[in-house]
Amino acid sequence: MLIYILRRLALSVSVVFAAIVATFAIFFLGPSDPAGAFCGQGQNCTPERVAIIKKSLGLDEPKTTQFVHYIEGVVVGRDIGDSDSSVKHCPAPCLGWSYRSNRPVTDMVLERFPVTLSLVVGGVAVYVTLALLFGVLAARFRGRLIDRVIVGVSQFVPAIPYYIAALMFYLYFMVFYAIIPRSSYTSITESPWAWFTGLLGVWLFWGAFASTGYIRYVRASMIDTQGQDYVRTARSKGISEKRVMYRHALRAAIAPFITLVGISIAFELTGSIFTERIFNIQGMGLLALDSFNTGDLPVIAGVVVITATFVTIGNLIVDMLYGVVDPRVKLS
Amino acid sequence: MSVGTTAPTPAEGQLEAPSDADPDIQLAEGGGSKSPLKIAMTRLMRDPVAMISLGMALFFVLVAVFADQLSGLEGQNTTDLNLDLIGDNTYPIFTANTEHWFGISSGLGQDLFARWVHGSRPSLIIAVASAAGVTIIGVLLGLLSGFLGGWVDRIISWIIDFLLSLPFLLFAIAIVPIAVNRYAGTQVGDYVDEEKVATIRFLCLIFVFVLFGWCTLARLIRGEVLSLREREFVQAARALGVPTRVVLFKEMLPNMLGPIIVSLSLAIPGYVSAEAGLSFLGVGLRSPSISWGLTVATAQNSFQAHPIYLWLPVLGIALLVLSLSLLGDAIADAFNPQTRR
Repeated sequence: MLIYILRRLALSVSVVFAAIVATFAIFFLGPSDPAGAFCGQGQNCTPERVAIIKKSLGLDEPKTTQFVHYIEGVVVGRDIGDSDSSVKHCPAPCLGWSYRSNRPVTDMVLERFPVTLSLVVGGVAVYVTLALLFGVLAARFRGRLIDRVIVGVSQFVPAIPYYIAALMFYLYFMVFYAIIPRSSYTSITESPWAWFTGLLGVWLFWGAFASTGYIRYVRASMIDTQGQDYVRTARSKGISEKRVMYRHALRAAIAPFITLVGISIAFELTGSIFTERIFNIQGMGLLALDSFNTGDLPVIAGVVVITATFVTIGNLIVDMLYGVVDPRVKLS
Repeated sequence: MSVGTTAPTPAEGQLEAPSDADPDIQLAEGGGSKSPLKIAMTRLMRDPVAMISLGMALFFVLVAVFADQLSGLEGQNTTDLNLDLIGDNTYPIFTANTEHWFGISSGLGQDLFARWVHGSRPSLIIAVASAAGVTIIGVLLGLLSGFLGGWVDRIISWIIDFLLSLPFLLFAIAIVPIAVNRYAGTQVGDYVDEEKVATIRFLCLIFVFVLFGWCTLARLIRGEVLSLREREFVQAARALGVPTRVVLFKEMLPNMLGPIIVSLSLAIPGYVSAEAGLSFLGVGLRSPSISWGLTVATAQNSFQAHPIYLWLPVLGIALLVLSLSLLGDAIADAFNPQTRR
């Protein structure tokens, strides 16, 4: 067990490292012009000033040296800027320096992290509940009208682009008719109630929409496990149907579902760009989008690295959980 | 390489003959064993949802192909400004009339019908081009990885795993400015050609979709190859000394048409949706390109006073993606032996 965890951990670290290398290669070895972006478009931006900025950011050094500095920054932190001009300290894990905001990228991303996390956790709670509820319901009444309605809806809804549905929901239900409180983000420490009501509409909409993509998985694996021998054995022992459903069949059916959810949580941490843009929630996705518009590449790169890390950690946790939930899986 | 259009060619030494020869011979014999492709086609023809979706998708394809003729019929083009028809509040003074069938846009007063029919083009072109690229690269690398095995397989598999762990949307966002920077030159004082930037953005989208799209198909094909490799007809062909290239493309590929067609038909609506979505976010196409996603982004601000401006591209995207997705689902169903009745 311990060896398995260690080996799995080593693999995850290697993937994260590869992601950092790839991100660095794409963003910093690419033909981008960070010094120009930092300098701005106005009259003050003379070639001399660009050269000074380049020097202070270390962009005049060879690419390999830059890469070593970058990795060094991630591990132990680093100082940016040469000795005679103002030195900026970027503590570990340093993912670079934002040219636009003139502050460490890590701070900027971490500042937005609770926002996106609130969004994703609430949304996932809604969709997991709905997917399990309707999936089990459909499987239980297989072939009946209720099953066909659920399956029909779960086929039809994901075929509509999410952002179109979300935009119309926002415009008509939150703005035009104002049935649901307009989405906004307040820190949970500041006011839990404002935090809850501000995000409620987004959670419900996103959760309901996303659940339709998972209902069919839950239904299919419920139907699958119901035909298994151990479920038949459980029934033959005279255990109540409810207990058979929830303790025996659902527990096995839930394992592949957990994999899906775990991966989706990690991906939603940045995949929430559309949600954040439409509902105007200032999370990590919107940070990346704003950085795109200002040409602030280190920030986008930072978000990419952090996301890749989350995806990898997510996969790791999912693999561990798998053994806990499904007794048939032995970690080795 | 022709994928998806030609009927599978007969495979040498094939014992079970799942995929088969000329459809005419089959018909003449009156049934018996049919190729999986034919069975799937027959099932598809009987599926009402598939046929309605196909009709709707074809409608949009025709609109895209004849966009110039359609706007010519109306007598308007996509760029003319009609500032005289715009009221003081920047909204048009009418909804629609015989000259402007779908009305005009807020602010600039461009003809909405002309822009709507042209707006379907980039989505469809990008989707088809990306799907073609994904199919060629995915099939090729999947075949190589599965058939050659060894270090080729390990490298390709690692690349696939790696690409799948990267956040697609963020890379899509990042690649456009890098490419524009590189190929159009946005140094201070540089003259930036709008048309050129538009082309770069267009190509970038295709590039990103192909880059992140081929891995899933390659993985699928690799799995298929691994199972087909041990089948008798492949063993026989190899024993006869048939060159690897011929074994791959003449023996194995025809047997994988089903999964390839299914993955294509499920991918295309995804690309249509992604193009419009990225353009909506402002990181895909931009003016002077015309795209539904772009129109949605601008029309969003005047949805209360001028709803038709927003609803047209919204309905366009929703119906096009809906019909393509449902068609894709139906095709996947038709090819799935487990749902065969």
